[in-house]
Amino acid sequence: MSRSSIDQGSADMTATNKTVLRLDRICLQFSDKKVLKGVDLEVKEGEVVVLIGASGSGKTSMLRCINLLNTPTSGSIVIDDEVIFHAEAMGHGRSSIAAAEVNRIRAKTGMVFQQFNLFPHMTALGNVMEGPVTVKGEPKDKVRTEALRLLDLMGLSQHVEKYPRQLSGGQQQRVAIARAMAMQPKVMLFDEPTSALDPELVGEVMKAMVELAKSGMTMVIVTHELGFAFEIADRVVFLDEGLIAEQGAPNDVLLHPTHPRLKSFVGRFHESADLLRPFLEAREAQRG
Amino acid sequence: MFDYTVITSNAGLLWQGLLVTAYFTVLSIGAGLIIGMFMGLIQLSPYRPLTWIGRIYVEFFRNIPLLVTLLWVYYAFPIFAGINITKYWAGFIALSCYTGSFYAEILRGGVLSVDPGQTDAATAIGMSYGQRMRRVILPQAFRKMIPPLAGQSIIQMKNTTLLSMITVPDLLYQASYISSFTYKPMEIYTAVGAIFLIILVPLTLLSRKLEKSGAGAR
Amino acid sequence: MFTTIRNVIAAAAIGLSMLVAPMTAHADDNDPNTVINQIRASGVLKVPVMTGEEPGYIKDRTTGQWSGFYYDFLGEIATALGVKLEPVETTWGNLAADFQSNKIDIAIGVNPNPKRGLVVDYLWEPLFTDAWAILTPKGKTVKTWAELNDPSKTIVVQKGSTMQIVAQALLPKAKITVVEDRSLALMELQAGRADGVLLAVFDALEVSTQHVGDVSLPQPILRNPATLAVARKPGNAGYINFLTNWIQQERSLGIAQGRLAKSWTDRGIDLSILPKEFSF
Repeated sequence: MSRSSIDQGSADMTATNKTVLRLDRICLQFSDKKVLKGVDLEVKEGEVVVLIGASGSGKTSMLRCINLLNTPTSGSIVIDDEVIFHAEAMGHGRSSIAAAEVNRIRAKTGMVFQQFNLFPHMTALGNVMEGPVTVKGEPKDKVRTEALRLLDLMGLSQHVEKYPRQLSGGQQQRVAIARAMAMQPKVMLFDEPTSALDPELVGEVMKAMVELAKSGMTMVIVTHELGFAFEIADRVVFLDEGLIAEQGAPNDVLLHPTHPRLKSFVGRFHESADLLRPFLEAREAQRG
Repeated sequence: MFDYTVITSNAGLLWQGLLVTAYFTVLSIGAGLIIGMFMGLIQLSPYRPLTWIGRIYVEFFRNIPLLVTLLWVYYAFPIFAGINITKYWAGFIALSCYTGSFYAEILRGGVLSVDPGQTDAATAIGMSYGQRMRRVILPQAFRKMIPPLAGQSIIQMKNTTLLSMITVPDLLYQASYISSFTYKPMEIYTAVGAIFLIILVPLTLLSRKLEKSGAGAR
Repeated sequence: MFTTIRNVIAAAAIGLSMLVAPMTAHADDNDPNTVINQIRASGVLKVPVMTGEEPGYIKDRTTGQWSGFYYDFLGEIATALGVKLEPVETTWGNLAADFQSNKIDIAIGVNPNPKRGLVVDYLWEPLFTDAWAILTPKGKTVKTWAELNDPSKTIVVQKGSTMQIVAQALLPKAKITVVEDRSLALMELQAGRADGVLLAVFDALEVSTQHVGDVSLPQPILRNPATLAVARKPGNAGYINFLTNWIQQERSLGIAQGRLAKSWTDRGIDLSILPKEFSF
């Protein structure tokens, strides 16, 4: 059932020793509320990290700090050996890095949102082409070829000329993944990618993400779906009240939690997992 | 009792007045849109002084009656600035500044009404502020703004009648002039009212249609 | 950061105060010829013209050219000064503002008014003297002012005009309706909401040629001196002197009267309503 038991081999293959993302002592404060109280995170190339935690624990805020959609109050962020953010403890969230630099480094990350956030006035193809054409200035025909390839990868070749409003939620989210991929990011960030989807559509998106992980993409995923964490994560990080309370292999964190808050958090998961266990074990046997 | 001949025999003057009204309407809408775009967008910038300038401009011209602004630009401003200003320039400046303040609010509202997720997505793929605005935010904002912009523009045509107060020969001026030598003000003012209706009612209906199609295409 | 904000505000305040201080050229107090020299140097006499004030000001419907006896008189003054006439279109209501903002050099056909006299210099020699009349609905002529001085009567006057002051002084018991211009006053009459419009007799006669109402010259006949006005500025004494002389010359030679009579008969105005001893 867990990734570590079945896909041990491929996990070793995709994760290397190169650090692509490092967060150092990240603090985030909104007026009087401290959302992140000093978070350290190191992600290696090819690694898939899943962030879990209760609402308000800071997991989404932490994800949004990585590409500076939220500006941390202090700390530093390094992506692919380039510093994208740096502020001392007493700073007011003002980084010493210039805006143009920030935009450039930001393009090294790709983000997929809970609400998809596709550009409604462009087709699926237009959405995917937008980044490379406008931000990177690449020639249109080259970008088009690549965009069509990515959409095909997502299984959307039939829908490239459609507008977002003509697509289902699952299709829109896959377009969003392709759009983020078009910028050739070093890290893909996912903010609860399946939370807004009808259950029957969740599967297709999860499948796309698993394929992405298998291809060696470094991914940081915030999700409620603990079962999915099992399937895809190399490491699970549990956030509680702005701090990393526990992290480790999915087996350890999800099946043998030590932190009390984590225990109650996964407790409910275990209850429903118990109900599903027979079905999951049967499926494992089929794959076997 | 109602003498239509005064209307027909003076149709030429009424037509001239209508042309002047149309001229000032279109010109002030154009200039107003440019002013409004500037004053609306700078209120959204992260620099405090810029937001103040935009805010002050909007509150100033929105709250002072157009007539007061017009008379001030034509009579008072030349005294302070020591320059002479023709009634045509005074009318154009007053009308443009006035309507610009309303357009600014519409534009600002339009941009703010765009889903913040759009800004997130555009930022996430590495777009600069300018690229975001140009490619993602403004196109969506404009679609939403067209109905209130159309409405404000229709109002602008009525606003131009104030120019007659400084004897710019618009439609209302011509009405007063024609009445002065025909002594049939009732017939003339009725004709002016009818002219406004004939022009503005179809435009209002068109604006309503735009509203519907704008709301539908979400 | 605080000091820079202070600096910015200080700079802005200085800039604003410069903008606000009137920058009109200061005429020399000591030289009475300043104003008249300025006018002669500029080569033009800026005069007000207005629609709805026939026969004093007439705007040609096709060419837009100005004429009328007021305009003709102003033309003579301009010639005497050796300058050209520059018409500045405006309204009675805006005259004070026009003077204040230096858009006009002179006004004609105005009645001396103490309150306005605080801001404007009137020439006390009248150019001509007409009389106050009432334009009534057809068939409803009146013989005396007393007939109209009654709460049941409504009189219409133009805003900001001497008519308004005369009506308020002469007919305190009547209801006074104040309107923006002459055509609106006539609408009041036509709508049956007024018993009369107070006008100078020649304006009333002009209107009556269009069969809008009847003209009455109520007793006792009230004379109405029409004169010139100029902006109150230091150094305009010479200008005023010049104009006074001009007026006296016009009147003594009978030029003014002759021109007026001709202009009125040209318009088809029937002067028979005026008593024989009436002279303007």
